[in-house]
Amino acid sequence: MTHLATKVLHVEHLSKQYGPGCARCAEYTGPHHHSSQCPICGTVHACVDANFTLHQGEVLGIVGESGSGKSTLLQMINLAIAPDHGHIWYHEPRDDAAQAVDLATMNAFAKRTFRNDRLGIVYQRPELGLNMRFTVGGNVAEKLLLANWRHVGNIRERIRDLMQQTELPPERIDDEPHTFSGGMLQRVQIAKALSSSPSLLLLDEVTSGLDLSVQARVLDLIRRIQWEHRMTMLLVSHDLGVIKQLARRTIVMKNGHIVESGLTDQILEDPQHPYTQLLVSSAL
Amino acid sequence: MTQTSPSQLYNFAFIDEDSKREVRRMTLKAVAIPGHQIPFASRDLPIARGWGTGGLQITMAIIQPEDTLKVIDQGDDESVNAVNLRRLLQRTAGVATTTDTDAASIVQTRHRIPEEAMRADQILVLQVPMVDPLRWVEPNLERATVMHGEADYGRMWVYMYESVVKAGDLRIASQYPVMVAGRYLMDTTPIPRWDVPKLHMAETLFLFGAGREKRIYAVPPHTSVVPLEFADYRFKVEYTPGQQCRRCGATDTFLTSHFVVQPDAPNGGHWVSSCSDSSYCTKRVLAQTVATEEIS
Amino acid sequence: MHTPLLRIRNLNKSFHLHLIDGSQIDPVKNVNFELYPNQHFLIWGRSGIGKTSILKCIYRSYLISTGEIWFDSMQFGCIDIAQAADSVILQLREREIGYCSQFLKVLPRVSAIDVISEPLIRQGISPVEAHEQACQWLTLLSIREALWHASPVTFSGGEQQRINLGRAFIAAPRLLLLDEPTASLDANSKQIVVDMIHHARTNGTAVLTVSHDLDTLVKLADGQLAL
Repeated sequence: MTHLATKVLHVEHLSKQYGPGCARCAEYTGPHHHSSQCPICGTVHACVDANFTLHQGEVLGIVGESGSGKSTLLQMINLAIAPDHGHIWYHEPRDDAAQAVDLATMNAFAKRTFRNDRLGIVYQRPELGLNMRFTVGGNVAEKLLLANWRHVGNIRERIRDLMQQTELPPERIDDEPHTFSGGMLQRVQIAKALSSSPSLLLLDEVTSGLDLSVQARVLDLIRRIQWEHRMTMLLVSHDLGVIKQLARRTIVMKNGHIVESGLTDQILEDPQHPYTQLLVSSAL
Repeated sequence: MTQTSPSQLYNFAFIDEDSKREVRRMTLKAVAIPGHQIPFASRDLPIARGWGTGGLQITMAIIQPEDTLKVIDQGDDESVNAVNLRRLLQRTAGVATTTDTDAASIVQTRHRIPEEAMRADQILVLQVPMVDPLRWVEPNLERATVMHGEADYGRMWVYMYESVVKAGDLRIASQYPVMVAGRYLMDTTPIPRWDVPKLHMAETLFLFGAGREKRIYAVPPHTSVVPLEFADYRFKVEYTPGQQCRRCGATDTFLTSHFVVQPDAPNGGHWVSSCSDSSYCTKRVLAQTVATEEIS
Repeated sequence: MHTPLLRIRNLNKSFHLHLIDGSQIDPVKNVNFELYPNQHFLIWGRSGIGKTSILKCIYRSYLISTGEIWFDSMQFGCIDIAQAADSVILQLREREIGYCSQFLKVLPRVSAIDVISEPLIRQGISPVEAHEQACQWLTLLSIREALWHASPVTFSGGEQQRINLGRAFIAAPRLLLLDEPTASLDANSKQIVVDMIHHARTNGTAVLTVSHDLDTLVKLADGQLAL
């Protein structure tokens, strides 16, 4: 009998709020209200009791509109925002015998090492993921240098290899980012994210704002990378078309809550929650 | 110059006792955490900020009547700044002063470490203009502080990589970044690369004071100080084969050049190299003169 | 007596349309049937009667309201698809259950040969061999060679349908769900479909077809359900 593909991530009761909270918060915030901010105490409930599992090689889509909490959730998994409650259980896919680790309880050093080593992240805006004052090569090299690579020749070889994988011309390794187009900068971010051979790739609205043909190319690249590396991915998008192309499973968020989760085709063809039905019917 | 009685118009060594206490306490902290920048309440002094007030405050806080003080600027005891600082301490502390590194118990310096290896009973106080080595890669002080706290120096390594890529080699001339005790990234102040190896596993205590930036840091004796380098692009000191001091003939010291004016020469004169450490150079010249006299 | 591969018990599916004041549509009411290995089962009825909905419930594109969908899985034993976890369904779809629909849109910018060979590559077959088999199927399905490296998104309805069929049949799943397989096809192509179903059936694939094209398919059916 086959077992399921190994779990990589198991998120339990993950929550984040900005503000003290009060007894009336639950009454006035949530998916049935129009905001995640409590009108009495001003607390923003950015993410409330999120639960989901991610298996190796899976792409999980997170869809929602602005204010849904999807980016907060992603940044908690990126260990950049500390959750108020909950656990982020991580199972190392390269080591079957390893115990699950709660990433939320790691100290700052361990978080930073883990983030550099095991995670890769790509942002919508390149200036969030890249340093515009360094060369393209320098940006791609950053994770390697943090992982104590100390031979410039080897580093550059690896950078060129990654640039080729992401369809960037390797001879432009020493060029400055401002000479690259938007689509190319997304590919630089992807090359940087892949440099440490991460076990989880986080993608935050990576194609939003790009020209259509450029968007298509970046999406195809991500799909190819997922296929070739069997990469486990968390894909945040407000665009159902993007989710449909890449994610086999999807969760839908509104006002900080996960309102529905399931197979992507089921979410799109048989949405249960009123908000999901609204989203699906709003697709262009 | 020998010990004298200090002027009665001033507190011993100029600054008040509370200020000395502040500086001493912060200096102790700095020694306890090698390479880590300790903020301190920097006082106003009769010299402008940027002229060595940080180093001066450390010297003023630690100096005792029985100390012997040497002050150098760019290796030279006789520059305007060195002379003025020495005079101030002479007047307010009455301490003996010297130009001989060997004879000094405290050496205050700007831009150089003396050629003669310093001992465990000596202290070297360095004047620091700009403190944070991360300022090249993170101009925001708050973020840089967090980076130091988390030993998050990846961006500095990217900076090093970029300098290799842009210049073909590590082209950092001074303020070379080093890792102290394997934990803190430190700016070595504008000492030339030549002097950086002197910090590693030394016998003497190095204290760094920045008056304008209001920071003190330290490298205690027998502390590892390792310059950032790559396996295929290593840290190198300045050296030109065949270099020689015009005065004493030394081929193994850090040299400075000055222009000698000759109205009838094609360029109006010529450049002459000589030891930056003027007192060491003079010692060598004197020793050679004595040796020559002995022979003849 | 063999164990049924698929057992549908009291299947009911209702849609609650919250955007239209929560009105309810019930396309599937109390459906029961069984499908055995190597069988071809046909569900037929007029358009709009809910035949496609039954298939979608089995494939889990729809969540059912009440009932059971028992599937005899090689990976997980006998399980109720209606209650199974998403990850289980994904693995069933990858290895055991295939789906072909005239409305299935292929991924854009992927060539016909890649579309058809992908299920094989997922199973671990080498890309070279997978492409070879894909070419054989493309020939069988009468797709002109000039189109093999083009994206099916640009093909005609009939050609797209044939690509979908190729992709569904090539993987030889244990259960193949076909939604109107002969739609948009001419008589020749329809015959090819009949042959493909027959061939699949004799090679270990059970086929569940939904169609209003009774004439072509009824002779091939081992069992049927009229809605």
